Amino acid sequence: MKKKYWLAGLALLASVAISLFLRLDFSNAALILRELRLPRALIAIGAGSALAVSGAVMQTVLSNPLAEPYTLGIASGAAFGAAIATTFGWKISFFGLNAGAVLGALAVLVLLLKLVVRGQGRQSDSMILLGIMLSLTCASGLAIWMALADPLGVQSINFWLLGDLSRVGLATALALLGLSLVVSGYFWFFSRKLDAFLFGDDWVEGFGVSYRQTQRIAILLVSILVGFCVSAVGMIGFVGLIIPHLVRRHLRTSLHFHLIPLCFLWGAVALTLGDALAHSIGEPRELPVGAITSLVGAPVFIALFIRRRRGEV
Amino acid sequence: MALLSLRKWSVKTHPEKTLVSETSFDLPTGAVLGVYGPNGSGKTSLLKSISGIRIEGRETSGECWIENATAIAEMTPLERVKLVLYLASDFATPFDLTVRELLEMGARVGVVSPDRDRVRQVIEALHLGDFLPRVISTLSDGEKQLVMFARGVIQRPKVLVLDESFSKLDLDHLLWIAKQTRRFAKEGMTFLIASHDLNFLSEVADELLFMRKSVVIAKGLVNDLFTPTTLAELYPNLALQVVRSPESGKLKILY
Repeated sequence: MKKKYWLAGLALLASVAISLFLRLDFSNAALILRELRLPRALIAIGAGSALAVSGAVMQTVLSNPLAEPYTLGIASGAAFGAAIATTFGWKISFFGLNAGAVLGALAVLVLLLKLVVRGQGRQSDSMILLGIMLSLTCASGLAIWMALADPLGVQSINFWLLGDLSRVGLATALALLGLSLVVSGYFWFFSRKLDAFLFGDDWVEGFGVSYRQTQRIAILLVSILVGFCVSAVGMIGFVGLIIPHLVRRHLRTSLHFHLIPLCFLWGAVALTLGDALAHSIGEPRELPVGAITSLVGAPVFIALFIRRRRGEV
Repeated sequence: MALLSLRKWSVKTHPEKTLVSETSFDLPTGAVLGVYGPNGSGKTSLLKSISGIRIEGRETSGECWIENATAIAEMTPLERVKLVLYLASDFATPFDLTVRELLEMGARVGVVSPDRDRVRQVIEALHLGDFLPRVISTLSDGEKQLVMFARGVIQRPKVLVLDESFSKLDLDHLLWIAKQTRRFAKEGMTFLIASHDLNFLSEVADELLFMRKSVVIAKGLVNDLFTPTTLAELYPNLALQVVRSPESGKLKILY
């Protein structure tokens, strides 16, 4: 177990080093590092860890290994909520924007659960299908809203839908990282309660854990985390799917006492590396980081989906 | 003093369909009660309601006491599973978990530090040593049932309710489980076991409870219930014979 943490820690150090120094212009190194690259590395750690931990928790409490903020539409809901808040003039206040995002995320999750209860069992793939439809609905709503509300809005559509880590300042980066640490810490502290969800709905209370209460708290915290994350960096897909899958299956860690910290670390690694690629591959142009993570993540989703259909997972 | 007592315990659904009708009985600590009845006779409804599992649209009436506690359904899940734990016939997980992880989860419920001796003892008693590193989704149905039973015993509720939890076991394992259940009962655990195998129940249980159409039609010792009259009440259309097993000396049903 110690080895797994060493490996993750080293990988994080290496990816931060890559993100800081890859294609660095050494004539201005100090300034670029301080003003651009450092906040960027920090926000990558904060957002990556937040997304991976959110994904892991959602998969557990919904008994669905394909769940994550992106496939469930939570991220889209957050982006839509944040965009609406922006045009209502909440932009000036950091909390207005985030409140909009959190409310959007929460609204989608609650709606999704209601739809799923009305439809079929939660373990089925219909939940993911509904989630993706909600996600598309919110994304379209967002695009139309931005195009109508703001003359320059069309450009920010890209920010929301594909993610961008370059706009964030040091303060926001630190705030998100702190929030991610606190929420992950909470899930880690109550990891036994999450463990009880691993064997499906019927077994949760048999382990002495309240089903409704635990699920509600998890949903609320994930909405807050994803809301803050999306309002800072836009939507970044599949980190919440790939990382928990990797940790569960390839590192053979399913109990949350280790799953949560390892997802935190590897989520940070994944987004830091992804963002390093985004800002360096096409220099001087920026690639959208969400497109890079989706390019890797969508095939993983397909592979998982096929395995599930064959009954292997 | 009985550990579990029911008084006029009924379970009804809303448009007045009775699932369990005015059942009363007492169960002392360390008893093994077998619950038997045709499909749809209300066994699962009875067992779930006793275990405090609330199902929407169903209402219970009457009294159900487990160790001086009533209103099991109102308790927190943790308080409840210390008294009574319900296990069904199967379980599944979409994640890769090993048998060891599941059993240790059972050992940690409601305690600060798990009783490792207890875990080892149960694993030895049920011959599960080789299973420990295996991933649960690779187990057969019968193997899963052995693991589920082990988890229940490790978790150590006052009353362990097993609803068809041995339905997929082969004869050898079934008889072994019967023997081990008797042993755990002697150590003070109380069991409620629903099964469709009367001959298994006569092996494992002190007493049997027969249900038919939501009503308990008989409760008593195996020897008193395996009689032509009671069996005819249970199955009016079947001609069943009772024989004594030369092996265990228990009564068995022949059909």
